Amino acid sequence: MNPFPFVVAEWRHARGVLIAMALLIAIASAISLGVTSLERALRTASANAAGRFDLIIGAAGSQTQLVLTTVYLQPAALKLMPATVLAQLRADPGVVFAEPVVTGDSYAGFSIVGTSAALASDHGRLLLSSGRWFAGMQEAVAGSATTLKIGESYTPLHGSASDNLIEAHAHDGQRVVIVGRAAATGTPWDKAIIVPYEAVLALHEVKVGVAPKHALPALGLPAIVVKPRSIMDAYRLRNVYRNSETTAVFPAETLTRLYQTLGDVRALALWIAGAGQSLVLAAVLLGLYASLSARAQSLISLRAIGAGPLFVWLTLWLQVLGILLVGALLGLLGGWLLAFAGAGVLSNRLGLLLTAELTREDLLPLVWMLAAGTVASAGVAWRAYVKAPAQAMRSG
Amino acid sequence: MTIERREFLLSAAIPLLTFAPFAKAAESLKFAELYKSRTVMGMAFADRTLQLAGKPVDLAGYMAPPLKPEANFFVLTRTPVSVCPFCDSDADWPADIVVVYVKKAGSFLQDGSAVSVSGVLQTGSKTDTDTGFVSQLRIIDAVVKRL
Repeated sequence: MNPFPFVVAEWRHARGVLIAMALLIAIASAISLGVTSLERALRTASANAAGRFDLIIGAAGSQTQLVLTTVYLQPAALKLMPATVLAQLRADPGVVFAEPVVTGDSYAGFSIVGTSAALASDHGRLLLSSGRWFAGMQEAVAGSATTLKIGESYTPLHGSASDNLIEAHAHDGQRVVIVGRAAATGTPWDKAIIVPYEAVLALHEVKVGVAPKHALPALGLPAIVVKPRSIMDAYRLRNVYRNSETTAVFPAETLTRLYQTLGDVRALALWIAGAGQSLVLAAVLLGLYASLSARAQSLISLRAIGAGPLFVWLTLWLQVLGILLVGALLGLLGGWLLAFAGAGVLSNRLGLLLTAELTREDLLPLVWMLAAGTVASAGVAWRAYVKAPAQAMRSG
Repeated sequence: MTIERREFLLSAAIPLLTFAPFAKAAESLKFAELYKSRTVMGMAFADRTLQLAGKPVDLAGYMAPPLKPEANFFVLTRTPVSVCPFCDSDADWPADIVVVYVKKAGSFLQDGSAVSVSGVLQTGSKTDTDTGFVSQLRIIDAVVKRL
């Protein structure tokens, strides 16, 4: 005999309650899925953005600010270190390259970043979508998320975008031409205009040599990005340049601290969602159990018309399983939507490209809930089946 | 009911726990015994270090600050990379480092943690494919335990 028509009939009977229960399961599952996926997306995106920056050296001061300003282009007035540090680093046999990064100006709401074409292109690994890299002081490359076109010229503004909201502080007499557009990298640098660092220093009345390649600014530099030759060199340089004049930091140090915080938030959200899931599961089982006395009559009738004990137990069990399955599937869909929408919002806010995806590991809590629910409801259905005739006798 | 569910959860959790392969007993290494001589030309591995290459070893040390986020490796040092303001910036530091490649990439413990590492020892110069960094001494397929 097919138990499904009975199951469906029972579901119809208590439609509202069942939908509510499935929705509760779905919400709890969606929260845990969405949070897990978003946290991973944020970690991956921020780690990718730091990929080109192995070691950053700056004037003695906040290491976190040095990373935020250099890697993520958060506007801040970094202190300057003596320009001789650059020459010292380039002379070190353990240094593959050392390139300055100078921030502080903006145009049309986009940060202007002064660096070398070598660093901006990650030594040829990051391509331009069109045009060419800058070759002179009056040329610039626009990031993929800027609105500037090749051939357009602009006058840089002194200070960040927000510094120029009320009164613009233009560097008068400066015209810079866009000669290339960078391909998308999924990092805050997409929203920047990249120029030779010598040009930014010259604007701020720092004396620069004639040949930009070997120019040494007299005043100083806010940040130098270093690629160490070996892991040993990386730790040695970090150690040597942590002194009274300069500081040195791996962006990974700052990020790992951030990830610990993120991980704590995720753990909290998962506990809350997990508690929610357990509560809903308990409610579903209790509901099943409680409704039995009401349904004892129909169970007896089922037996009376010749249904086997297994059949009766199966109808009870399938009812609960249906709720769990519908809830889990809705939760999967909701979790994916939540992650997708959250990734969109965060991408805009942070200038990082977040790609939300669900891995098999994310589905574990869902699988656990289903498994636990399946076993528990089988037990409850069995108890109910055993108790039902007795109850029916009493009430009848 | 609850018993059944709890038992089930427990049995489901067992495969999720990471377990170290107990195939062979690992040799215990010490930082002090890794090298036999330190000359101006560099350092020479001790004979035992060379003998143990390719074999499972245990080594205890301190986690250095992470060089790369979400990486599959970290650096183990003999002494903690200190954050104390009175420590000098010694240019020769650190001679005693071992690069540890873990089985699963991710964020590592707080740096400065004392950990015990079990994995397979590798000697010789090798360039990491992802980062381009050169290392001389590595422990691969490592399992990390906080001490």
